[in-house]
Amino acid sequence: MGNSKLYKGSLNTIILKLLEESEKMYGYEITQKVKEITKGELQITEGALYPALHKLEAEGLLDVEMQKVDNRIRKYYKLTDKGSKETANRLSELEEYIRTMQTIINPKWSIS
Amino acid sequence: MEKKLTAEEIQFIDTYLTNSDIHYDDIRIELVDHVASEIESRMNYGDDRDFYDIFKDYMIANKADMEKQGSKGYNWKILKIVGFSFLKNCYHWQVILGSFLFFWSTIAIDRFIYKLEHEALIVFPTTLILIIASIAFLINGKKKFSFVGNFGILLYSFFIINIQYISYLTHQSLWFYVNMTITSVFFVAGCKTMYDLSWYYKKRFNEV
Repeated sequence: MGNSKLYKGSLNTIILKLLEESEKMYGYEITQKVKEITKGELQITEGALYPALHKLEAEGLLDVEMQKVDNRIRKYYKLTDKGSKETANRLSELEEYIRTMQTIINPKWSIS
Repeated sequence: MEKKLTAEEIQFIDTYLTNSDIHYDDIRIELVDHVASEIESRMNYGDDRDFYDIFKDYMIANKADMEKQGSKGYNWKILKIVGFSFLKNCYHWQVILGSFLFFWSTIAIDRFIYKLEHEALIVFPTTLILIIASIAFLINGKKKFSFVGNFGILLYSFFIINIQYISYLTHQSLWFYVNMTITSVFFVAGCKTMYDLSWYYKKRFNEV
């Protein structure tokens, strides 16, 4: 991952969130989507992305589909039913975490 | 018109990564697609240099990061994941039944057909690991997949330790039977886990 260690702990949730919004995505597409949404602020490297995807796949949160595209094989990832439920849990956990951090760091700006 | 890499250029990336010790096919397939997508993107966003120059630049910046994933035969994170799958399988009814049958067949062989002493006892775990490895080979041929490879390393470690330990056992002692029980469970759960992992890859990778 490009810039901060703080993002590292949220990488799996970021991946799950992106896959929740799309039917299926491949690795490079995920890195570009994150770069686009964050306007280049967050850049996910191959060394961080693929191990995270493989872990989520092994946990049964993602399923894969192989397709021949432009002279090569492309591995698409999509959420399983278990993955969809887990995404909702992790997103609410992350929101709770952000709220707590805001109350600590900037009490005046915290969301009530 | 959007620029796309030719089959030869894709093959070049694949060969380069193979020569960079990216052992496992599943990891290499993803990296080939990643590198190819990045090069195509640069070509389509105004980089007029030829494929080899862009490729060289990209690899200088990212090679170390890529090698981290695939250059080692094992990966702690994957070992942990396959280790958990294996432990979960140890409680599966098929494994419990299979281990029970395997244990009693081995004991029957030991008592009535051929005594598993000394050399025979040491050869025994080696034979078992070869049987488990042959499951992966029969299902996926020479293709190497990361989870299968890491699981192989995990089991190999167990059987190698077992070979060292087994030579100190007294034939038909209590510890001999304890060891036989553990070996039976490991063997049968190992066969099931290897079958599940190999079949998982076969279903996904052989359809393209």
